Amino acid sequence: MSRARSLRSLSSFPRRLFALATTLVPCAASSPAAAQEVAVSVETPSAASLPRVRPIERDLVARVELGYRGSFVTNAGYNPFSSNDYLGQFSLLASRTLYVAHPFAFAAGIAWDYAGGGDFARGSQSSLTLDRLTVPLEARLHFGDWGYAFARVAPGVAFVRTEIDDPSAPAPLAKERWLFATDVSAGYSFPLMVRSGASARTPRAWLNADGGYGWVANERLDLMPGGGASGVDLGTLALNGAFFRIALAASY
Amino acid sequence: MSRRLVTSFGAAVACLALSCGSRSPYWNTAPGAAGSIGLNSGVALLDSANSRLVMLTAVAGDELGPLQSVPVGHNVAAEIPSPDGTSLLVLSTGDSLSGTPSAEPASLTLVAPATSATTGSAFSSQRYVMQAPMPNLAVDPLGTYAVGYIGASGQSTFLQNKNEIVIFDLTRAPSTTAPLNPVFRSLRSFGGTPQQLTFTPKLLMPANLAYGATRRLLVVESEIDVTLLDLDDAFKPVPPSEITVRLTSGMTSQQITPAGVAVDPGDSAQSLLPRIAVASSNDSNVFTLTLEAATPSGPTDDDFLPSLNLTDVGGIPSNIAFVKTDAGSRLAALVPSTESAVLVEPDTSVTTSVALPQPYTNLSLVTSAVDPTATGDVAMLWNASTQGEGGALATGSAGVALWSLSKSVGQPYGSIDVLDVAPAIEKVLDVGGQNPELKILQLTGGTGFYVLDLGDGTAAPLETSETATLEVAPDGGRLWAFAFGGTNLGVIDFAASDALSTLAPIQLSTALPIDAVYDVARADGGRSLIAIHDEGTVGATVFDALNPTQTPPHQASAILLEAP
Repeated sequence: MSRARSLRSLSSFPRRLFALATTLVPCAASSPAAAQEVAVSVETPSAASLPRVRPIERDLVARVELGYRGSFVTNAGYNPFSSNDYLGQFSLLASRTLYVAHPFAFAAGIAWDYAGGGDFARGSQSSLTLDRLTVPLEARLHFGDWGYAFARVAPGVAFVRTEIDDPSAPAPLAKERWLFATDVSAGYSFPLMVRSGASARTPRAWLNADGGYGWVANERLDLMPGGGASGVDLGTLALNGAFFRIALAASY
Repeated sequence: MSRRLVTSFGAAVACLALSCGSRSPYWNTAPGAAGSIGLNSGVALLDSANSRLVMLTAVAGDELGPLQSVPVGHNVAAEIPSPDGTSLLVLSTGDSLSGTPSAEPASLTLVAPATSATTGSAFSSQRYVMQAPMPNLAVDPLGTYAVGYIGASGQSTFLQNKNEIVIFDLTRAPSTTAPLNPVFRSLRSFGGTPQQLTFTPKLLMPANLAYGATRRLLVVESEIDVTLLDLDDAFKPVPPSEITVRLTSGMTSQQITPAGVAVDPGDSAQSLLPRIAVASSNDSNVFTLTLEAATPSGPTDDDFLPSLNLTDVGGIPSNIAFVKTDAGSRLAALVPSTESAVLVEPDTSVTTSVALPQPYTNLSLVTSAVDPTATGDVAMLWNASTQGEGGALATGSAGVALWSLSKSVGQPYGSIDVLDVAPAIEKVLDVGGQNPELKILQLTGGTGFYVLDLGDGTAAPLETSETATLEVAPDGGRLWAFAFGGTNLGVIDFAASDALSTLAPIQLSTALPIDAVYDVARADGGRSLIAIHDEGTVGATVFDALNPTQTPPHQASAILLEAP
């Protein structure tokens, strides 16, 4: 009983906030004419004239996200490739709602994060590229037209390629490897435009932000130049660390 | 609710952003020009930017063994291998800003092969801390002592005493309690400062000394005098004072500058006292110090006292050495200006002049290589393009001769045997090891050398198409030649059955320019040649030194990239 009340309270909070905002906006308008115009335009439609509306949280929707992900990698193995322990990534995600039980929903999809960067390691040009392919599994808690909060687990794989171009080697010292990877994050998705009465199938734009922690399996940085020459052992690279992601999303 | 969410999220991002740190400075500093020093069992690469040595060893299969990083003091001033090639001494001047947290005092690091098999490392190190930086280091040929001194290389601190030296006993661990190790000494000065240091062999002291049948002395040459310092007693709580022998007479304004020392350790069986001879760069006299037992009421608190003897050899000597002749022990002095060698009887100062076919500036005793059973020494005379001791070389002439001292006093005119080596010689390398009779005469200009076989008196010329750097294997089995900064490498294997008759060079090459080569012993009994490429973070090519053409060389890259 109390849980049901709590859920009602949760779902009604954004509506109350929106009502407050719509009340304040006309008050802020200083023109009496504008106030008059507002008063004239108010008309209560009959129930039969309203279109049939299904809120988004009650429907199965597809969604595409495009964003930026920043990871904080403090592992010493990352030092040859960055001077600031930071790894910026391009992030692309596609998902679809698979299950809905108002106000909850569950979605799954596929995500690709790409990072390409480098620095100088003791004067030698270094580079690291990361392709992370994951399957995000996302639990959502909707707040009506105010978007939803989500928690996401994204198991997958990462393809890491490291390279150092040192003049003492006959060819660049390099290594590439597929590794297991998993992200755990939580965030909120804000609708950029609230379209009252629009159906769930109406395309919408969202601003997405989440933060969490990403794991990539450890990798021995034994870089080899090829040609039978021996390489260099730079220890262990673990691209683990906290991350944030900001994305623009479209749903339909 | 959502406001709280936004605030929390923002705070989390801010925290993460603030936690974004920077990497270790190690990765920001390029190694720069990496110096390398060869030891018997490996090569030490200096990573001066990170105050460490990276020790390279070779293992079976001609690969590099596990790299070992050995920390050394900040600001390395000198790296000197021990005379036997087993260990390395690294002198560091430390940091001038002693107040900063990472500042280090001046120090000497001794890197030696690890004695305990449980350490898992090939080399171990110990560090001797000094009170003041010393930019120069002299190392005892017997490996017992090392002495740091300021010398003529300039100012190392704002205020310094150039007569201060620091003595290390390398056979003992560092100690800040008695007996101290190292110890500081400030030499008494009459206006000079230490310029050149020489360690004597074990001197057989007069039998009536209070203690010790043998003694090691440090001979310190300044601009105007010579100081004798008793090394064996230097670590006592109250060491005896050093003895300064003033070469410059108070009767004249001319300063006499020492330029070379020769030591005769003495022979107790023949009642010969130990002697130290000093040549001068601007005086025709040689100064002979005979070490006699001191009297208790004498001018020194040590138990020996030098007596000084001056002998005019007719010109400024370029090189001096104590030699065994058919008439007993003599001091031999080469005098290029008179094209002669002079033999000095040290007790009476009677001289015997030996006319030479041309001026010679350098003298090396090669008795054991030529005739170990001879009653007198055999000396090799040669000229170097560099100046002889004291800058006495005036002619710059070429040539090599063997001087038989078995008949030099009684029959001086027949004691010289000129070898047919016409070009000027840059330097002479001892092959040693299994081929002590071989000498390598590197010619001026570096495009050729002679393999001189003292056993049969042959001198085989070999040429290189470009200026070559020569490296003799410590076991005396091979001679390596390479073009500095080039990729050509050649070797003459003296151990091959017909090597000395054919001297057939083996041509090799590397993929990268060579900066140095070292013939090192492997743990499995083999030997490898490590060619160092000072490119990027330093690479190396490893050959099987005993069979360089049988297996392709192994290449190692980015040696100084691995973090300590």
